[in-house]
Amino acid sequence: MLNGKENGGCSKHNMSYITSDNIITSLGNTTKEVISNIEKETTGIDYHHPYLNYTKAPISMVNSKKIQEEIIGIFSDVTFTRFESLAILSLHNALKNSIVDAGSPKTLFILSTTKGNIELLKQGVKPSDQIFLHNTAQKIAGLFGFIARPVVVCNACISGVLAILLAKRYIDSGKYDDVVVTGVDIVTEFVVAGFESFKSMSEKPCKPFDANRDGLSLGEGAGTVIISRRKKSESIKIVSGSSANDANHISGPSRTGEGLYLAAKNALLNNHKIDFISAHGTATQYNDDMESHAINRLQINEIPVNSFKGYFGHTLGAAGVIEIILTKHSMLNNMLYTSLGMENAGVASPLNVITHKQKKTLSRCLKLSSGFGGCNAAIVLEKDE
Amino acid sequence: MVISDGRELYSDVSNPDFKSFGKDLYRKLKCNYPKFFKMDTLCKLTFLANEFITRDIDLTPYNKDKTAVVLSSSSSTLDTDTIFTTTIHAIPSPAVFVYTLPNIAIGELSIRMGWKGENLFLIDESFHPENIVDQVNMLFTASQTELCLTGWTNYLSPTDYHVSLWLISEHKNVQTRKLTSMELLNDFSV
Repeated sequence: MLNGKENGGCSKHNMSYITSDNIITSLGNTTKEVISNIEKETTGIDYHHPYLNYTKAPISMVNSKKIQEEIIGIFSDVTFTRFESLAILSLHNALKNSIVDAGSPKTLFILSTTKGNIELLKQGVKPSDQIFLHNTAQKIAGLFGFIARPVVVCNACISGVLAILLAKRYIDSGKYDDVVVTGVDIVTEFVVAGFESFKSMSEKPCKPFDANRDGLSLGEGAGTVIISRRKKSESIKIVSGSSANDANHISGPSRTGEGLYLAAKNALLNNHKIDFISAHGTATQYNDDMESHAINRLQINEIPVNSFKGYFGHTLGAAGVIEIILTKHSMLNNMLYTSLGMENAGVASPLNVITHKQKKTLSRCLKLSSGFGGCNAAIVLEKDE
Repeated sequence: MVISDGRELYSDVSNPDFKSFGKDLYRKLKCNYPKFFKMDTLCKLTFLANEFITRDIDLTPYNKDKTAVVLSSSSSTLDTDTIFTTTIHAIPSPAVFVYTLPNIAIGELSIRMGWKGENLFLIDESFHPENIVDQVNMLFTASQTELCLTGWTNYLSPTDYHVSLWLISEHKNVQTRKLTSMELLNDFSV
């Protein structure tokens, strides 16, 4: 018999529906704009040289000027950093389409990010209080009237998936009825210098799963999802999820995809019948090979898989949130979107990468995510028929 | 000062500087783990506390795939972020950059212990025991977790740091106490 523990703590009475969402990337400031550009197979990755002595690098940057203009129309009397502006506009856009009451003690705000306001950290200057992520989260939560103490998830590139998994667990536990998750990261000198030091940035826009992939393209963006106990108009729910560690290396993924295999195995709950996999697909040699091993070990390698990173790069702490929203809309539209950048198959174990967008009924889908520190996370989404 | 299960194990008030205090503790623990010297301060601090907790406990009954690590912090990696910032215009080092993510501390413990269970790193303004109780209870209810290392780890400067960790089992045994916010707060405030 299945008890709450064995089936991931999920019962018919505890459902977590995605009731509203917003995405901001180089492809637009609304989910609709971003998806319409994905439909057209447009990439927002372009050549920029915003920092240091680097030659132009392919990076996905948001339209900061347009974001500032929109923010001034909402909160004209407060000043915000670039990071905060992105978070606030995304949160505002998701909340305005929702009936969720931010001021209810049963509503929680979760911020997911890797480096937050890191650009405030300057050599030789005492850091301001806004460098602390909990202060940033409280400032943002205060603007929208959230009264529950905000939670900040800071767990490398799996932060977004973990934050949504945590939201589902809070709802299952009965502590909250609605959880608003905002994932945000911006491209800064700090992050560019870091990934450059690892030699993991590509020379051309990233090519996830391609034989000639040579690294990731950094991206900035924000994604907000509202996850609610009660079903509203839309009908995609988070049914289960898990995280796991490789226990192998802090900066390189496991050669066998151990942690990702375990996370996905626990998330799938012995039901490997899925219609689509939204992979992490950063386009580094190691990540994509590792994912191909994990997917083959799970024996789901025939299932269509894509990476959304060819459209707007690797958005770090926002990636999981943005890509779960895109998985949700793939399901609502019954569309398999092209894995942009993939031309010639070239991962270590065979995958069914989507090279041409196509219609397919999508009822149950898997989102994968991996990051530095050997961390991995997986979530299963289902359509409520 | 090091306190384990209410007993003061080690104290050196004349030398509170973590740079030397940490090394002293490492030597005292005799753990022979050279990777320690490559870690940043937040990882070293967390690693040492975990060594004090786990060295005298038989963990063989617990499944390593079902052992979770949930940590929280206010400082996050500010110390290493500051160091990395000074190198951006010189030669940035990947060996420093990787430690600008706080969950690397979870990764280091996972490698040391072989733990492959759930991971979560949270940033909070201060230690909130009720949050830890919530997180651990949710993991026991909603995942396969049967053992969880959890707590607070914070490193601001060589003289301003604090780590408090607990190992929490899903099942009762002779050594266990009941998990409550009050118990955690009492331990934390010693």
